[in-house]
Amino acid sequence: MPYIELNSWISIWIYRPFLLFIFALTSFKFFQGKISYALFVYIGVGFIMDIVVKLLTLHGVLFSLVFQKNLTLAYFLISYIAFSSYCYSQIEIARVKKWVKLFTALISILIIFSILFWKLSYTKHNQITIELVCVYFIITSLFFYIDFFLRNHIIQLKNYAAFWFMTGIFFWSIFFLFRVGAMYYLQTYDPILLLNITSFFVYINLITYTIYLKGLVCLR
Amino acid sequence: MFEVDEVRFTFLVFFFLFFIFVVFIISFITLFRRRQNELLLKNQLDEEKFRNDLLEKELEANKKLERERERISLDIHDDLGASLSAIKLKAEFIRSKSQDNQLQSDLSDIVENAAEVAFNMREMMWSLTSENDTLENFIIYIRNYIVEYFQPTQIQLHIDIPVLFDNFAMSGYTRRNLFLCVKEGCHNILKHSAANNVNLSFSLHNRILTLILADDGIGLSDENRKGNGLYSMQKRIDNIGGTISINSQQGTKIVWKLPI
Repeated sequence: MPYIELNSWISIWIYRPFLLFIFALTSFKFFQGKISYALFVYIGVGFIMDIVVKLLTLHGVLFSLVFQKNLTLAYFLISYIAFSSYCYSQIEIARVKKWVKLFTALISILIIFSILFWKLSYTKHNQITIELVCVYFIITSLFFYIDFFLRNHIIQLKNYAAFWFMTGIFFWSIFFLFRVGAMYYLQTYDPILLLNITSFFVYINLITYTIYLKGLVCLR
Repeated sequence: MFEVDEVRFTFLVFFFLFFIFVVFIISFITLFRRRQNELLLKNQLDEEKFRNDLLEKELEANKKLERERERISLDIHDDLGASLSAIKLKAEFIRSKSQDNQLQSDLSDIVENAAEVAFNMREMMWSLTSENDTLENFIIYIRNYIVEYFQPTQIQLHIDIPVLFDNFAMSGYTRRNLFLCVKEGCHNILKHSAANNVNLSFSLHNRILTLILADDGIGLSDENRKGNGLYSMQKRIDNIGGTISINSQQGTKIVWKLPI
C-alpha cells in the first residue's frame, strides 16, 4: 500500500475509533468524578478537532480558510487554558508552582501580543501563537518533571496518572513544535514535505493517546 | 506521490525527535527511581530512629514508674506497716491486761483486722515491687499464699508446678488481678465447698498460662453462682485479657487462662 494511503487508512480505521474510545473513557471517568474538568476539556477539544470537524468536512461542510485558522487558534487557546489549569493543580512544590505561575503569565502576555500581531500583519497567521502554546506545553511539562523529581514522598510511577498525561503532552508537543515551526516555510518551499509530515502525524497522535490511555487506566 | 527522499527525511526527523524523547524519559525514570530508593532508605532510617526514640522514651517512662512504685511500696512498708504493727501490739497488750470479756473480744477483732490489713498491704507491696514482675515470682507467691492459707484447716493441698518456667514478664497489675482471683477461689472453697482435697496446678503452652484450682467438695449452689465473688473474678480476668471457666460437676474446678 502506498505511504499516503496507508496513513489515511490508519487515520480512518485505527486512529479515529481509538480517539473516540479515549474520549468515551475520559467522559466516563469525568462523570465518575475521577478526572478534573480541565483534563476533560483538554481531551474534549482534541476530540472535537480531530473527529467532529473532520467528519463535517468529509460530509461536505465547507469551512473558509479564515474560519479554519480561527478554529485552530481557538483549539490551541482552549487547550492552553485547560492544560495550564491541569498542570498547575498537579504541581505540589510551592517553589515550582511559583515558577509555573510566572512562566504562564509571561506566555499569556506573549500569546496576547502574538494574536494582536497576527491580526495586524496577517502574514504569519497563527503560527507564533501555536508555537508559543507548544513551547508552553514543553516547558511546563519539564517543570512538572522537576516537581515530580523533587517530591519527598514515595510514588508508584507506573500508577501515577498525572505522570502519563504530562508525558503524553510532552511527547506530542515536541513533534508538533517541529511540525508547526516548519509549516509556513515548507508551504512555500516544499509543500510535499509538509504534506508528508502532516500525514505522518497520525502515528504521533496514536502514541500520544496511547500514553493518555495508560493515564486513564491508572485512575481507579 | 511523495518523493522517496522526502519520506526518508520525515522519518529521520521524527526518529531523531522520538530518540530525544525516549532518552529523556529513560533518564528521568532512572534518576527518579534512584531518588525514590534514596527516599525509601531515608524513610526507613527515620522510622527506625523514631521507633528507637519511642522505645527509649517508653523505657525511661517505665523506669520512672518503677521508681515511683518502689517509693510508694517503701513508704507503705516503713510508715503504714510500722503503724499497723504498733496498733496490733498495743491492742494485744491491752487485751492481755483487760479483765472485761467484751473488751477482750473487741480488741481481738482489732488485732485480727490489723493482721488482715497488714496482709493486704504486703500483697499490695508485692504487686508494686518491680522486682516481682515475673511469672516465676508470681507462682512462688501464689504457692506460698495457698499453703499458708490452708495450713490451719483439714483440707489436703496438692500443688502441681512444672519444674521450669521461662522467666516471662508479668506486670504488677496482672499479677495482682490474677492473685485476687485465686484468693477468691480459695476463700470460696474454705467457706462453701466442704472439700477435703484441693488441687492447684499451673501450666504454660504457647505463651498461655493455665491455672487450675479444683476441689472435691459439694460444688457450687445456684446462690453461689450468682454471688459477687464469681462476678468479680470474671471482671478481674477480663481486665487482664484472660478467660475463666467454672465446672462444678464433681466438686468445683476453676480454670483461668491468660496470655503471657
